[in-house]
Amino acid sequence: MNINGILINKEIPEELFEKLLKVRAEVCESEEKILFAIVGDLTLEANYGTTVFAVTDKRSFTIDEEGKLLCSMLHEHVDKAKVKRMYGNARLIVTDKEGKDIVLFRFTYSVATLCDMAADYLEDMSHGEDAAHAYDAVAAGYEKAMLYCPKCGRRLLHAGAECIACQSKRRIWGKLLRFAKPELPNLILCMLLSLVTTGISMLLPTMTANLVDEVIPSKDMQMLLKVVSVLLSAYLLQLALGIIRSYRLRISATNIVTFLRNSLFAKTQKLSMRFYDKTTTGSVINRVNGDSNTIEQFMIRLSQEVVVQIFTLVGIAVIMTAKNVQLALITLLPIPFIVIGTRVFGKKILPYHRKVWRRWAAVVSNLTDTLPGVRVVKSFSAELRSSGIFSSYTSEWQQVDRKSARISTAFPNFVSFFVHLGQLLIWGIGGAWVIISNLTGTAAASDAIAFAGGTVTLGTLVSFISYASMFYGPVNFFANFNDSYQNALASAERVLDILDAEDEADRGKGNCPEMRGKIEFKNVNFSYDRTKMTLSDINLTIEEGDIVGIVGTTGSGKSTLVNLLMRFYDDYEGKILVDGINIRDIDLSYFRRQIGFVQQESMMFRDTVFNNIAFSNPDATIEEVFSAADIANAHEFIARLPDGYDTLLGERGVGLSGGERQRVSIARTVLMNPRMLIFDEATASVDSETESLIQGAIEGLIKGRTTIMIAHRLSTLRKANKIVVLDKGKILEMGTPEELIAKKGKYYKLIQIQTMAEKAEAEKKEERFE
Amino acid sequence: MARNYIDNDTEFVARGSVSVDMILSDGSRVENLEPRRLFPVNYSEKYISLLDADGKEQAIIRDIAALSEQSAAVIRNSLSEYYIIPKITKVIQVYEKGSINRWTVMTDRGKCSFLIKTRYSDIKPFPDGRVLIRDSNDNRYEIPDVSKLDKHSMRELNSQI
Repeated sequence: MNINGILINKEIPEELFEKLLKVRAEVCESEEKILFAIVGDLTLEANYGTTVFAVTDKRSFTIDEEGKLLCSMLHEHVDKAKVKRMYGNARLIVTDKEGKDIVLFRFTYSVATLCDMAADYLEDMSHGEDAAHAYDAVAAGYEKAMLYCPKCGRRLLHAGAECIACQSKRRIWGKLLRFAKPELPNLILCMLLSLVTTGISMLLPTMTANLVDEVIPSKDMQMLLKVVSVLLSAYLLQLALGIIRSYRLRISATNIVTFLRNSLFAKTQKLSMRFYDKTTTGSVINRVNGDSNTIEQFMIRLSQEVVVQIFTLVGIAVIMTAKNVQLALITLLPIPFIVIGTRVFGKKILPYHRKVWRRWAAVVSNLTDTLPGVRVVKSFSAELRSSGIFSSYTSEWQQVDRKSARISTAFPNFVSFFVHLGQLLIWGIGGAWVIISNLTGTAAASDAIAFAGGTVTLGTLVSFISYASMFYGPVNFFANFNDSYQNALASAERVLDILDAEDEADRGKGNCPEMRGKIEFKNVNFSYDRTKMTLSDINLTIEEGDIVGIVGTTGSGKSTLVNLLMRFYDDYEGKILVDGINIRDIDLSYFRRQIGFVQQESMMFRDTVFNNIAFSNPDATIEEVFSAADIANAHEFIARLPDGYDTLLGERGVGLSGGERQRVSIARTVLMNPRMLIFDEATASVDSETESLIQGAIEGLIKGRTTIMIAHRLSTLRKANKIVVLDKGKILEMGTPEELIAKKGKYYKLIQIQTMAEKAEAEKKEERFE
Repeated sequence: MARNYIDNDTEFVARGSVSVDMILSDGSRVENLEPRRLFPVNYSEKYISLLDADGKEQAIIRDIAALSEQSAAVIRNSLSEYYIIPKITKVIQVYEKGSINRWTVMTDRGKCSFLIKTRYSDIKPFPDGRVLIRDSNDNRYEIPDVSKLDKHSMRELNSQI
């Protein structure tokens, strides 16, 4: 935000703001203005406390909560400025021209990115860069910082967007109701049908009362027949309406849940890799599977029963009061208890729903994560341990569920106990009134009649018992409603977590420029989690048709580099250009179609070999698939499979070897005919014979295409005309292989180590031979 | 590697029960080839790969129907020797109890009985009514069109498909 022309990341008390201005007046020259300020949360001694780091065009200074000046530094004295990230806190450190380090500001990671930017600004200013340009960069940084919810720190969809976690429940349902919308006419119809059947059943006790009080005592056979046949036709009508309604309701429910589930799945495909870094697949599966069901059921309940139950509640109350006020009051007596009980119960049960769900998601996660790794489990004979871990998850779920059961099962039983109590009251008091009213003529009888508000007949009593049980239906419903509401609410939150989550950014949708394949990285910095920079200061130009080998130790950032180029992560600093166009400005799916990405572990879908290859281009003809498989050295082994291209992968009996899978996945890439190629350790997991087959496949594919190859085995890079050596996220060396060998740097060392190892291995083999 | 596709200018003569010889249009002869379907499930008449004794592919027949009549017969005969996929004409009984799922069927090759291991993955219905079945020993069976079966067979199959 911008206060009086000062960019600031957080609102600060006016008092402190004034102190800030006062300090400025003391330390700065009169025409100096504060350009931006960062409100931090740590003192220089790392205690919590507000500190403000302010920057003018000439100097920077820090004040504490009391407005005391902690330190100040002229830009022209700054030699270097950087943010040193430590554990749970970070410092802005400047090195002055004498080489002395000075800590200007200390803060937690919440403002680390802003401080990175401030450090850049300080350096730019001291090196005499363009002040306006530097300020623009800062302003952009502030705008980006506002992408986080000020309340809870979650990332927002866009600046100023409403935070999902902080929004109201009404809005949650507002968002989900759109899934019920197409079914609205059907749902209303079902509700009306339900109202009719309920209306009929409300009138029935009155008829039975009539039977008891008049028809049977008067021994009127004809009348009896009449009443019974009316009752029969009422029941038949209910039967017919009930069948229609249940059927239509079921259809609606299926439609809603299908719509919801499809949208959820479609969304999971669009989510960014960031989302999957943070969320286990198990919990996503749970949401698509279970939560969508819960929500659908709740929506149906909401749309149907709430109205019907209220109708029943009011209708019966009216009928009962009309018949006999006193008896009606007795019937209503237990209601307040139930209502109060429901509220208490609801408050107690919600945390349990969440706990149970969380434990259950852990169980599912364990399941989905362990099963694919069963080979590893077996190879370490860890079956028992693995089962132990699983059962520890299930038993945790079991325990929480048991606790929740104690509350959630007892409550409905209490409710029905109170319901019975109500009926008992009617039987007891109402029964007494009936008995006493029958002793006509006595004083007690007339007292009783007066008290009961009129004669209570046996028929009235029987109809009241029926009404009472009908009446408690809705009461019970609303008592349990809270439970299912809370349950559904928890589900709704989780589903919206996905539905509202940020899609992969696709700013340049529709922009599909012709691509030739020149790739440039310009000042790229990236960090996965704000704590450690995974890539810093990457400047790299790859010309069209280049074959670039990227080498470096594990964790040096090789794969991250490729992830950025594939746009799996979009929130890096700096620019990546292809043919001079910022890749963020290019249509995402078009852009990815230009890149063939072969990964170390090739993923096969549960489908035929043919469809697995044609996955990259479903319109490809059979013969195009054959030639792609040829280039990938895959056709031959596929032709030898009993089911040929119709072989279903992932089924019992059919497993392709790692090398075969890799060749299928290369065929997939060939068929896509991409402009650029990326191989991420494509041959790392296969033996050297298969490697040479794959290598052949790769070479068939490379021709004329810009290629990036990540490799451990330097031998795979023999075709590369450019080598980039990465180390700890930085480019250490770069050049043609010959240049780098001549330089005798890291690449030279790596080559030496590997050739030595290969030699040793070859010698060993020979020895064994002898 | 240029692939050799065969349309109609090549003749075939039978050699063994499964193997064939190929006579190219220029009269040269490639001996001892085994025809194999590249799509045994989806296309029984199209894309037939011809493998030599080392398992190397020498050519692909695009469509058997395009060949001369004699050649087509040679290839079809060879394929029918290689691929045994009995066509189920009648389902006599589907016996299901616990995990046992035993089918007794009449096929074009006679009556037989087999076990199904997993109903979900071993019985594969296609939208056109064809059903492929794989038994517990990995033998294959085919119902060309379910809707053409008799009522009894349909009833037996009802819970399976």
